[in-house]
Amino acid sequence: MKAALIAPVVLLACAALLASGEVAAQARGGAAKKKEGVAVDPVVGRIDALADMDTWLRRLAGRFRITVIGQPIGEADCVGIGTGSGVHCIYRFARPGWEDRWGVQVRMFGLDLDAPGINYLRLNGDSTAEGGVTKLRGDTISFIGDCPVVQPERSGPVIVTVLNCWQELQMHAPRGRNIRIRNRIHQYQMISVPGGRPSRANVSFTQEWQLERVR
Amino acid sequence: MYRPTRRWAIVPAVLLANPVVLAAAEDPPAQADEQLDEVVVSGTRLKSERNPQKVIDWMARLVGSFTFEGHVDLRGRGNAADLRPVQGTAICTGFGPAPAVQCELRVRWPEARGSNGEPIPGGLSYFDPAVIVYGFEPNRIGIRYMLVGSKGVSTSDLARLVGDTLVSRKPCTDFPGDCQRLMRVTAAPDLRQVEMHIELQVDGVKALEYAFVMVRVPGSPSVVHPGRSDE
Repeated sequence: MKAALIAPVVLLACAALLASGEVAAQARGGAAKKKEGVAVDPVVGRIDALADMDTWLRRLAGRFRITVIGQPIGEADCVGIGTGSGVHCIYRFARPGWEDRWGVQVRMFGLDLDAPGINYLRLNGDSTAEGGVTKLRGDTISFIGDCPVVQPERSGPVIVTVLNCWQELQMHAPRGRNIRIRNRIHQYQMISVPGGRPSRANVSFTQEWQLERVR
Repeated sequence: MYRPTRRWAIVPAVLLANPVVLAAAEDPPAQADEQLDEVVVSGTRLKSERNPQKVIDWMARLVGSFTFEGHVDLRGRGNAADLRPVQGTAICTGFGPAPAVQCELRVRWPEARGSNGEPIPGGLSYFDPAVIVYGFEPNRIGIRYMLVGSKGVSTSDLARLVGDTLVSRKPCTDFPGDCQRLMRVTAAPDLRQVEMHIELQVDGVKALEYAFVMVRVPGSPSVVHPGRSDE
């Protein structure tokens, strides 16, 4: 629980350090990096980034209606953990046909001081977990990682085996507005039919939904 | 036998979330081969568990209500003056068929500060409250966990099961030098307790240690589903 130890120190120091950021950057001289013509001290930049992530994370707390093109498919309850910006969410998908695939999910978000970035972990209804460190850019976090490869599934005579799966997740949470989630999933599948030779295919699909704030 | 319930692979595209884009994809990126079959524990290489069912059975042992015992060693040297006894509770609930597990922790110890009143690593509990979740990682046969503390800071990793112990080792930035964070969670089949051990090492030397023992509350079984005893 290392990072927890320095987190408050870092975050509490944000304001003071940011206020003196220019001075600090000048003092560091050669250590400062040029970014778009402006000198950015690496330490101040890191603290600034953590403050942005802290602010972004706090937008996730609340109760939401999950919708797909305006149609409600479930609810999400997200609560902060302690006094920090870590968030624990429970997603419940109520629309018929969604429970099997999604059911109840747990999603957790928290600061990763080592990366630095935002840790994201999702527990699926089938007890599998996926996630990793996301990067915040503007109001959007993005994550690229693999997704659980489920066991072969049968649809009539056809058996589809997912050999490889990876995903691109984006979560857009602007201040005071709805949250948009976009998940693009790529699967490398083997398709088997009785009496035929198995074929292989790359398949991609995108899932998009909104979290509309209820409170 | 474990059987995931998701059916992404064969669900017709039109039934997926709208709008759905079904397209031929570019080749998937080469996945980094992170199949670490061996885990270094105390300098000894041990084989991590490759049987999914055994990993799943282990996760079920975490379910239940617990009280906390143990200590925090503020310098990791075992000096009595640096030890802070801990107390607290944990409620761990199962989630899904495996089950995945989520625990709400409330752990406290007497506050410690530096000689000038400054905060020191481990001096204040960030486990009051904290949430830790464990989920099964089928691709690499491990357990993905994430721990979020009361100040928003989190740690996460894909951990490996070695015997009855979940093992994770990650670089950290808490201390200058080669900082490594080791986490070991031991849950024996007798279900009596779960040991959670988090250790921060700098250049191979222990600098801070959390040694928690979660003692199961009597009458708090690990059974997740009615009629299914996991042990």
